[in-house]
Amino acid sequence: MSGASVDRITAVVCMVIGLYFTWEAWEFPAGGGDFPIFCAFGSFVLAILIFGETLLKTNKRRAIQASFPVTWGQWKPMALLALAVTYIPMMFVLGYFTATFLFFVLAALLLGIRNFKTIGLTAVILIPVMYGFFVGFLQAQLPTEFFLS
Amino acid sequence: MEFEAFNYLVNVISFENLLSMLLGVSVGLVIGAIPGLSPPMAIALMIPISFHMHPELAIIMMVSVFAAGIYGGSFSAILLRTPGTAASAASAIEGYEMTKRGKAIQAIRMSTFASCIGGVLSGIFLILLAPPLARISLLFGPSEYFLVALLGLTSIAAVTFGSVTRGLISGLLGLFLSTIGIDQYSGFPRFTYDMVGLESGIGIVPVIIGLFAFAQGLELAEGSSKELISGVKRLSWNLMPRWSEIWYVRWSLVRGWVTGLIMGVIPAAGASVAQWVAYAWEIRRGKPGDKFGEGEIKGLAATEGSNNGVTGTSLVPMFVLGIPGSISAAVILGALTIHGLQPGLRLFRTNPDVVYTIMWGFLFANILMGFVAILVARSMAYLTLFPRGIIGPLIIVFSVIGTYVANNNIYDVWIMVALGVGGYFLTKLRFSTAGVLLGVILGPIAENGFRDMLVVSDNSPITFMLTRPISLVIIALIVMAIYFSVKPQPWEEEAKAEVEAELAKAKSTEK
Repeated sequence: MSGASVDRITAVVCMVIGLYFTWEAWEFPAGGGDFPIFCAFGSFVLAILIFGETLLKTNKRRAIQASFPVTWGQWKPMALLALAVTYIPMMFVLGYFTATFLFFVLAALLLGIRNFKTIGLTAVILIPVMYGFFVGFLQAQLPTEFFLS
Repeated sequence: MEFEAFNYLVNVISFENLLSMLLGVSVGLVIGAIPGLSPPMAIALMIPISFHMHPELAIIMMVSVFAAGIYGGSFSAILLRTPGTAASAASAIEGYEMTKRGKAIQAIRMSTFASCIGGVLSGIFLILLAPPLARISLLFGPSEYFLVALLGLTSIAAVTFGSVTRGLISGLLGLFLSTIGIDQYSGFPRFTYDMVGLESGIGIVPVIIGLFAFAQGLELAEGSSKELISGVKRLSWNLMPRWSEIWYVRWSLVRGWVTGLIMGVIPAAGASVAQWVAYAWEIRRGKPGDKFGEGEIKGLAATEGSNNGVTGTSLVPMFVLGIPGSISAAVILGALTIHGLQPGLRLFRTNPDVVYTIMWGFLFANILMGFVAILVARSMAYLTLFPRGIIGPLIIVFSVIGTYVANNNIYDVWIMVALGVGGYFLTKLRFSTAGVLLGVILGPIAENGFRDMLVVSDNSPITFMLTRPISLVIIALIVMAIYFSVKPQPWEEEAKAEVEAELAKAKSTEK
């Protein structure tokens, strides 16, 4: 996708966001809609500016913009995200430190680390340090381990 | 000027005071470096420890935590692009690029030098100029706050490389996010969709951690997991700044310090905006050969100089007027009250020995911070020798716990994840996550100023602004900021010429 196409889509999205915020904020009482509508006005202005940029730029400058394409073939970050989204509710089922240990080990393996000594050593140092700092020093209330409840 | 302060300089040089500073600096550095844990939290944690301490010792410890906490955020910002505090977000831009190019130690030593001297200068201003500076802070009204917030947002345009409009759109997105939650004027829920988690609005902690830390964790998952962040396998031991480096960035340091010292006096808005104004000013002063956005040390020097340059002057309204200008100042104010000290001009008259000893303690804490930072820095820099496949998950773990611990609220964690994903894709599309952060921080300041201004001016805000001298000055600064954002700079022309030459070469090779 070329830079100019991305800019045009951005302009359209800006317009849509501005229209949505204006529509929602119009009915807010006691001046609650003033600032969102002010921001929506700003988004209309910027949408026009960015769309205008795509029309007014010379071919040479458009070619420069096109040298920054958006790539979508990035599966590893999305897999890590899926694992993180699973890890968060599991904290309350397994306990914070158990879930964290499992997440860290699985994430490192998922990303391609095969040095089990590095993974193990990091995990073994990480858990007590986090316990000492967050629970011991900061007195943070973290989800309790399932085998302790 | 308050020369009486020099009579109390010798009070601060005692073993107990130095120990108190050392404890405060150490705690501040560690807590400031961890995303999600903030200087106000660190100061609040030290309050129970200080109960049995003499009031002077207690407050010296807290202001030391404050100064070091602001600086501590720069460690993680520079090494991992995960700022520990909002004040270090601008440093993440150039600092992390330097780390990627194997210059982590150089970045840290410059950051330490700029922050130490910035903090010392700020301390001197605090000691000598506290009462007159406090009078200036009282002159700021709704229109000034609104305009300062706009000035900060226009600075985003100056620091977004490649497209000014994308930078402004990023800031606007942050402003929209800041309107989510219960309207404090009417109590009406705005854009909450009946979700309890959104009623308190989008907090700063999930925004910083999501946009910078979590997004960075996702980005580190790309490519080879065995690759190191820094690209070098060994670190240098040389943590003392070189005279040649300092000379090279001398004017950048001065610009950073001046920006921090002046803007620190503006309650609430000053500290957030100062680093961006300093960075934008530095970019606009760039020369051919400067590589802003690719690890330019001048950019780092300016942001680091300003973020510690605000610390002392931001305490001025708190000490002189009893009005805290920031959350950290509010916590310190609470600590002062607990220890039986009521800040204000009266304290300067009745207990000048106490108040000036504390201020000198703040100044010396900044010097001590430099030495402690040198000891801590290298151990922290070892993080850059870990492979990406280990650091990425570690950052995700700390992102989750840092967000959760701030308020014990799981909704914040989900908001953080959502913003992290958003930040990851925004970066891919060349938008500015720093702009979004700045919009979220400045949104409430801008909105409160905007709505108060409408009330005070009887719905004639423009006429009102034009009758206030400080507003006119800020408007002029905004216009200049927009003009310089749009005007190509010499170093940008050179970078563009390089890209054009590469494209032409690629085209001729294809033929």
